[in-house]
Amino acid sequence: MGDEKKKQGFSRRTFLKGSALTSALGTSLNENEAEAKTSTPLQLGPNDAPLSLTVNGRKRKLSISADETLVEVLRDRMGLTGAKVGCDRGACGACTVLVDGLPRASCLTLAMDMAGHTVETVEAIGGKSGLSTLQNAFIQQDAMQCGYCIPGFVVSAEALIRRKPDATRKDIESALSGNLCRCGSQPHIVEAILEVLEESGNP
Amino acid sequence: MKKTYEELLGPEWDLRPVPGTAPAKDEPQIWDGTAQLKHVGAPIPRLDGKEKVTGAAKYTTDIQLEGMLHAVVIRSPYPAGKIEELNLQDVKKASGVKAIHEIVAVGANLRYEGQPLVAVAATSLSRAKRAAALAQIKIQPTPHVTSVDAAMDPNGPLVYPSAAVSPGKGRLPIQGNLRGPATGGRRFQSEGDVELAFKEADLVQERYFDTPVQTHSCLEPHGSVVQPLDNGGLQIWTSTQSISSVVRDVARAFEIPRSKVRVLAHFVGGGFGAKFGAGQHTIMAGHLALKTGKPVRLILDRREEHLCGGNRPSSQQQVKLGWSKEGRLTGLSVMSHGTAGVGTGAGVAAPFHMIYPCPHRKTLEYDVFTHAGAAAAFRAPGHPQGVFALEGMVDLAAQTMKLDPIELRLLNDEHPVRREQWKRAMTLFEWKEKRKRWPTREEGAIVRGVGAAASVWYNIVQNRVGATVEVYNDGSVRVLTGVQDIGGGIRTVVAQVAADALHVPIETVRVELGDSLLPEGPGSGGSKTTASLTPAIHSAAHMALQKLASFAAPVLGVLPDDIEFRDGFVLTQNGSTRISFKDLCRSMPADRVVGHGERKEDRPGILNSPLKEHIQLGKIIAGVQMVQVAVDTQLGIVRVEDVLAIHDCGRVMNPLQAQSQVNGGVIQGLSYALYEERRLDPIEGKMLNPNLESYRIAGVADLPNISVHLTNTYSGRSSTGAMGLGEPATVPTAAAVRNAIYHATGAFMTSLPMTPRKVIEALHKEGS
Repeated sequence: MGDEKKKQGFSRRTFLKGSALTSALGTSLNENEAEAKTSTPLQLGPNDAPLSLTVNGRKRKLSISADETLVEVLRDRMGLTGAKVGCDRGACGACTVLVDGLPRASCLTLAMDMAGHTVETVEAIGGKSGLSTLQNAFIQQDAMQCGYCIPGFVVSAEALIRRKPDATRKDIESALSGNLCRCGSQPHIVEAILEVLEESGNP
Repeated sequence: MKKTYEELLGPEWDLRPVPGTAPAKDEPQIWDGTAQLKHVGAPIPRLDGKEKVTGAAKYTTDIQLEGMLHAVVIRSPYPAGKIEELNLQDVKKASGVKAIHEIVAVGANLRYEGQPLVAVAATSLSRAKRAAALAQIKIQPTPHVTSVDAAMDPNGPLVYPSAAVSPGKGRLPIQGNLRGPATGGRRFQSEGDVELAFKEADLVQERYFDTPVQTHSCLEPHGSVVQPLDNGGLQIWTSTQSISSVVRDVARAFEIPRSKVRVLAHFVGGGFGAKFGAGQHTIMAGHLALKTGKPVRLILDRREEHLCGGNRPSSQQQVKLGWSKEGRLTGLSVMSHGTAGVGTGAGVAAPFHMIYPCPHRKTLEYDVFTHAGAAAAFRAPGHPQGVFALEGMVDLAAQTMKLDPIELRLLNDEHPVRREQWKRAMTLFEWKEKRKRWPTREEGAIVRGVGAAASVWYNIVQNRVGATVEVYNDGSVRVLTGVQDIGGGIRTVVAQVAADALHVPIETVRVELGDSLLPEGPGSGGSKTTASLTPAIHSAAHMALQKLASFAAPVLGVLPDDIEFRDGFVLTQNGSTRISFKDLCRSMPADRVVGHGERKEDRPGILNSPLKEHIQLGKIIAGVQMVQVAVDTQLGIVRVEDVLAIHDCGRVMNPLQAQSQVNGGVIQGLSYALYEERRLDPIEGKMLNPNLESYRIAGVADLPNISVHLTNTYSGRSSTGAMGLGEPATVPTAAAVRNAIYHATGAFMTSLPMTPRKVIEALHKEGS
């Protein structure tokens, strides 16, 4: 998992503790891109610093503290509370968002590292009509109970369907293995995803 | 006797109400098996589904208020210790800090890792965390006990210096760290002479079982946002299973009238028993809010959640069963020790009393105090543990007697519904074929097998909870109830019941819940929400209809009693005249008609039946589960492949949501069977896995095929006939998984979780 690469940029852990931890727990980031964006170490803090990023199609300019995670910025500064904090260390997937189209644990992502990237949260998954086909399938299949983990599942599943329209049950299991649901809604979640895949003409 | 009883049962146990259950004037006709309902019983998708899949649903953790402060808690890093110094000067001076609330003082004894010491409120979460790190707290660690065995050593350290300060004092004897024995519960008592029974039995078997501490691990942690109000009261958003219990605790803690406490819980991210009462976090946030005059938010993090958010106690059970050669259970004894940490509630005996009749029975339950966070109710307290042991002993006896395990159960189980469930399960699961087909080595090291276990739970009802139904003059409907929906789906069920009771389309019904200003709803625990609330909704709708009938009577030229509501119409009983429901509403003298309903005590229903009380339908809830496993005999990995779950919840209100809940019970059960265990460092006494990567819970790749069947039974005990489902669905799973491993490998596992290491050990033991 390229410890060297990680040391050059910053992750939340390196920033906070000054030691590199392999953050294999979260969903993996696009290594090449991460390297390109963070190859020059930045000196930020302790005061707020400017950040511009694209969230749900809108360019945003913010002034944030360098230790703020993406999920904190989304939730506390932008009011986008769909992504939840379940464990704050990339183990539960409740905070999953899409960064440049790929699922990512926003609790393990420093917001500053998102400069120039495109972030999509569950609030935007439904587009203008409000509900994507997948979200609608979640509702019809009752793919939820308490619902707290569901935004994370929706985002992970949406990413899978977009990048692999011919995904199999195995692919679904693999794509969702970073998302935990304590109520046990996974059977209906898998059914909902399979239904969408089948309806779009794929096995 | 059974025959007399079963004569009452039609297809699907469609019970007609027995004489004496005619409704009072203010009560609706009960919905029996013949009731024609449009919405109740239909697989209606969750009404709040859109909010949940779009992220619009606001949970407590999502509440953000103007000027809100963020609080963190400084906690004990040791399982036991004494506070020698508590210097908070630097914390107070730190940037952004607005208030501090000290929970303990110098000299205080600490009894568990994670015990709250000081709460700090600051203008942001990171400021609060940085400030908390500046506290100078000197704690002298003292000797601790974190295992049951160590805690029972009479010369070991005591969790409580004397019985006088122990929890649960006065109800049972306390000696050292040992509290008990309890010899029965509120519902059951030991009976007969077990020693004599064992002496006379044809087969006596004894085994020792142990089960771990399991944490609830709700995805939304405990948390509250407390806002001081101008009138001296408090408004609280909190993640709770019981809004009214939070009102009660907060009013008590701050000595303010309950009328000035408002508690809100529109969306709750799971509970499973851990979220009753205000909890320390709410009280701490309340103190900080009152000190600063500002709203304060305090959300536990995952580590705190594991350490002090509650848990299922461990158990160590010495179990002995005696059988006659005819296969009847003649004697049963259990001695259990378990730890609920610094709390109580580790008993496991209830299922030993509830499933099988047995003339001689003795159960002794002990709580063992240890230096660890207190347990809380957890989805069927005591039951998964007890059933894991009991249902294993039944399979063990069946093996010795060379009987099919289900046949042996049918020789003993008198519950009419469970008997029927077993028969259906054998067919649906192709039980006999699979028992015969396996175990055979199919793919190298993999062996397969099937096992089963019985479920049992009480039909619990919270009486006197209420609901209000408002019918507006445009025909729209609003239902008001202070219940909270923790994921079971009561929001949707309330709308279904109101729609059918008013004979209107569900689209016209809006449900308001999750607010203590609304009529008191039931707590969501004991699997009682639906059973308690739906009759109150039905009654409230009935009261509203009675008022509407009085408006309709002159219009239709008949007496109110001769009016019927059907399919959006109001008509005379002979059907000669009718007007639409909407037109009638337009003629209301006010903007709305209001009906209020209350949950009354259960009607006798079929309790008039001559069957032994404890197995009467509608009093004890039955279920059965069958499981197919594949065991890798070289690696010890168990894979649960198929589960058949047949459960009874009285009238099935919403089969889609009911299926979700049973899936959840099964998955939690298999997670408990195979993966979950709170691990404490044997030397340091600290939790080793207070997170979600090393405290493993079942994920999407661990899932079996789960087939859910629900047996509609209409007990006639309430006007809706709903009973509980959440807890019974998780009770038998771990036991059934173990029984399937037993069938597959011949190794009889007695310790949870059944990790690869334990499976391999058991296989070696079996092989030797």
